[in-house]
Amino acid sequence: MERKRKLDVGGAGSSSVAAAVDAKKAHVVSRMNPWTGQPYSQKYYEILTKRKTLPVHQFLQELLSKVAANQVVVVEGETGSGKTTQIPQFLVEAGYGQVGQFSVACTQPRRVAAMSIAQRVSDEMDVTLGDIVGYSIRFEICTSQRTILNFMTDGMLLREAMNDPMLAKYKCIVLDEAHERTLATDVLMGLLKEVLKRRPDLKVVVMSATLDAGKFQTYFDSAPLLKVPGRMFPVEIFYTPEPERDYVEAAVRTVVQIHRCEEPGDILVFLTGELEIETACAQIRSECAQFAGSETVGEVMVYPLYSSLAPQAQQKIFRDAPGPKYPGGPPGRKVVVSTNIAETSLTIDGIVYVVDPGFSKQKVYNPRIRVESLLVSPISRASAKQRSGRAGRTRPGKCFRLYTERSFQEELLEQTYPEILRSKMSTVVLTLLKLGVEDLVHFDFMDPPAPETLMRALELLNYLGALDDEGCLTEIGSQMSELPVDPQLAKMLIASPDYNCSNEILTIVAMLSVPQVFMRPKEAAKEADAAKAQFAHMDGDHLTFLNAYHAYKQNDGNKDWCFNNFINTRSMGSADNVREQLSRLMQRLNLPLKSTEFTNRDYYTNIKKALCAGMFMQVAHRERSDHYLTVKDNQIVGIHPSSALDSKPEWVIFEEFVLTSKNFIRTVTAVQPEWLVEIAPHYYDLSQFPECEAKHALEAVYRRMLNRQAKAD
Amino acid sequence: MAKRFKKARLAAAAETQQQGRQHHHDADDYMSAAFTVPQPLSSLKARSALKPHPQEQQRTLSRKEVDALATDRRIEGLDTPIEATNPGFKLLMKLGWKRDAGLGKRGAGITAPIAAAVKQNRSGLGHESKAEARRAAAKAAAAEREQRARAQELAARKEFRSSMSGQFAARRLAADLTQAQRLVEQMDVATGVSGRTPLWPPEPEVEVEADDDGADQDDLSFAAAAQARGGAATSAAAATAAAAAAAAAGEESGGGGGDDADGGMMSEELRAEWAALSMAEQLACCLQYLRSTHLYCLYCGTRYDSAGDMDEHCPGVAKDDHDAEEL
Repeated sequence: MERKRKLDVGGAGSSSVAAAVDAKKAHVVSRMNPWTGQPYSQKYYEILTKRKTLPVHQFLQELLSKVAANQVVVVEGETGSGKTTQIPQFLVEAGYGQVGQFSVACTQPRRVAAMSIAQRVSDEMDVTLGDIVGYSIRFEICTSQRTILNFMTDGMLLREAMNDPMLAKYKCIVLDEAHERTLATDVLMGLLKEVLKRRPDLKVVVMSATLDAGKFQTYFDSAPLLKVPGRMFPVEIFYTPEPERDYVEAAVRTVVQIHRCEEPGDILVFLTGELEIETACAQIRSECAQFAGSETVGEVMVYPLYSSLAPQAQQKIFRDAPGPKYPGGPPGRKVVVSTNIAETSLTIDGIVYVVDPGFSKQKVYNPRIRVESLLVSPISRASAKQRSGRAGRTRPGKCFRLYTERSFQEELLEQTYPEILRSKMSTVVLTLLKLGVEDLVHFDFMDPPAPETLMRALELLNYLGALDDEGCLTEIGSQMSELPVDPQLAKMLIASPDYNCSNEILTIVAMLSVPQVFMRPKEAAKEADAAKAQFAHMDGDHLTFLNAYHAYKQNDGNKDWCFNNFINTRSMGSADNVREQLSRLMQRLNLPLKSTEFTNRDYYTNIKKALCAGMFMQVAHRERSDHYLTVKDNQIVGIHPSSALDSKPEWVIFEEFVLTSKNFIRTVTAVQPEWLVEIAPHYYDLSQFPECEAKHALEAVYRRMLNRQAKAD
Repeated sequence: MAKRFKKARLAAAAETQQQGRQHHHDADDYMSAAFTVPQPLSSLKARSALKPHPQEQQRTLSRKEVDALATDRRIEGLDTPIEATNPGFKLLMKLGWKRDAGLGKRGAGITAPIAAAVKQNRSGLGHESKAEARRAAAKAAAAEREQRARAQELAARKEFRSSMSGQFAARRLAADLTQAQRLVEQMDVATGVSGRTPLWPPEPEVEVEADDDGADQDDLSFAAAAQARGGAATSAAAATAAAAAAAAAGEESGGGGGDDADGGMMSEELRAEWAALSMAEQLACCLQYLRSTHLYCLYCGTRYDSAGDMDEHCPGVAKDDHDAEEL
């Protein structure tokens, strides 16, 4: 009874709330689902029993009273505490969501998480997904007028704020996985600090998994903390006595040793990338083959896991470990070799051993040479702890760190740098300006980015015409901010009607917005290359994307056709969807959708010119010594081997400048220097140019153009 | 294990082979591109005029060299902050940013971008830093050796210098002492304080220059007088001087009297005691004696009218006091 009374204080005041909170009572009081008006299904009660065993369950009342008394509450809970699924729906039931009036938003750093959690929670609440409970991710909104619990990516909430700066439709905002410190979460937190001042009725719950909850408390003016214990078993940590010469080899060796000597239990190995993971899997398989005839060592199944892996292949990791080879024999073992997606975003049951070489691929952006790359870097101590925690989900486990304890203490940072310190800021700047934030310099970021990162963003936006010389948003800038793509791509879209090719640019932008369209499995690399060659356009990758999309449409998106041509069906499906969404946005911005006749000789020229309109700052020039130099930054780069270009044109535009073993430019298209000079004379002002071959070449271009003009006159 | 290693090596070999092939392919491409892309004459002229390097010379760069160059260029680029002429820099200034400051509410943000370090191999965590530490240790050891050598040289030089300046000071001291002793004798004689004391110039000189017949009995009174007149002299130096004077008186009385065996013994003792004093101490005794008995300061070169006059005008007993005054 005590509980129920407290609940009323929280503002719910309906028996339906009690139904969810106290199932026993609910059985008696009401068997009807208040959201649907239907009786609860059998499944609901089954799930409810499980829900009640979650550690977070007994803290729900405490949370509610804290939320009632404070604007911001920080919740610290280990993975497995159930906070992500339970807290948002509890807040809804407590009255922070009212159909047709206001709702609860719960942000997630990842799209997949937003979708799958929304699904899970609608199952728990016994409602259909998209009705009472929905999700919003970029290019995909699954909500209705009745939605009162919206799981969304943090970036999506930020976009919503652009049209609804006070976030008026929400009464409570839950920032989940705040410890991940994604770029969007950091920007959102800064924004929410402002909104909270002006909206005393708004509640914010910041949920964090790790130990730095204190930082969030301080940032939100000493917000109270609620600690929810997780379900964790102790994990024994082992370090190597000496640093390892080769961490991949050491990981393989460790796995084989565990398999041979340790108790049954599955193994999770953290490596950095696809190639490394596939190599390690093959080595583990071949090393373990020696135990095939052994009576004391069981069977082993090795599965890779990385994001570019096909979904069916990803699902394999959830299979059970193989059984004993013969009745009464030693049980088999499952080995999952994964990137850091298994660190937080994905939980594999049955893992007892974790092998951690201490590296992961991390995004780094450097404004000085404008390079953004995934680089293999040492993880942080917080990451290492998170990884070891993965061994203690089902029973006490062991974590083998392939480095010395001294390295752990001395070489690892306490926390991974938040994404905002490792990212481009151009989209963020555009968003903030659109949101009406005027003082970018003193915006209250939890970790403000480097000034040079902001300089590059301002420079880009200024050259693109999104900002005037005083740093104010222009009309074009405002339009660009409406398009949920990089500013360069947005500018391309806006400029494309002028070049009579908005349909084509739309396609190219959509293709650039989805992951990996062309598949290239290791075992069929040659066939994949041959398949891609069918779509290849001699002028480069952007036009190759266009060809591939047209071919896909001609074949009506046939799955078999995709499979036979090494085209990623899922990516193409989402490209199609993105294209549809963007075309609607274009229409809303009164940007006409036009095409040049395919038979017109300017068909491709127009497209390439429109590409230049967005990408004139990402240009490389081929030097006489055979390599390319990025324009203005003068970095030596090579064209990425995956490019469809089969020649080496003098001038190219590129999507990305990345660092791997070398400096590469990726997604490249040949252009004419005259276009660059015409489209962006302010950028190609030679008085602002560093000395280089490109400058001399451009001087010649200017001279030619003058000559031509003189002749014409 | 060995099997796996072999495999890995084979794979690596295959990879390099492939890369090699790729390389050739690229080179061919370049050739074709270079010769098929037509260049306007004016541009070619302009280019060759501006860039004196012959094309052949540039073409000799191997792929490895280009990679090394690319790495150097990258590191250089990563180390070079965006210049103040950059439009982004100017815009940020317009938005209220102060040079060298961080961003954020309190300007406490990072001031330089996070470094982008490219890991080129699979060495484990700590392996490189260990190798680096080893290299650093070797380097440090070498540096230390060098420093030690330099320190030794420096010390030697310093020692030489100090020994030189020591010699100089000693010579100076000796000269001062001699002069002081002479003055003591002169004034003692002039004021009628008769009887030689150790404060007078040493004996051999005395034997040659001065006679010892004037030695008489009031050495003790000399000591007493010294003490009485130097009433203000309470410093250790004065006490020493007094003691020495007393001792000297005793000695002299023995030496002078000549009829007292004990006195003679005492005299020897006192002489030994005086001799045991360092030259500086001897000088201090003389100076103090001159001041208290004759109101004379060696370094002022002045005889004062009264103790008060002396207190007022003489900067101090020691030579340094007078040097400081001059400065």
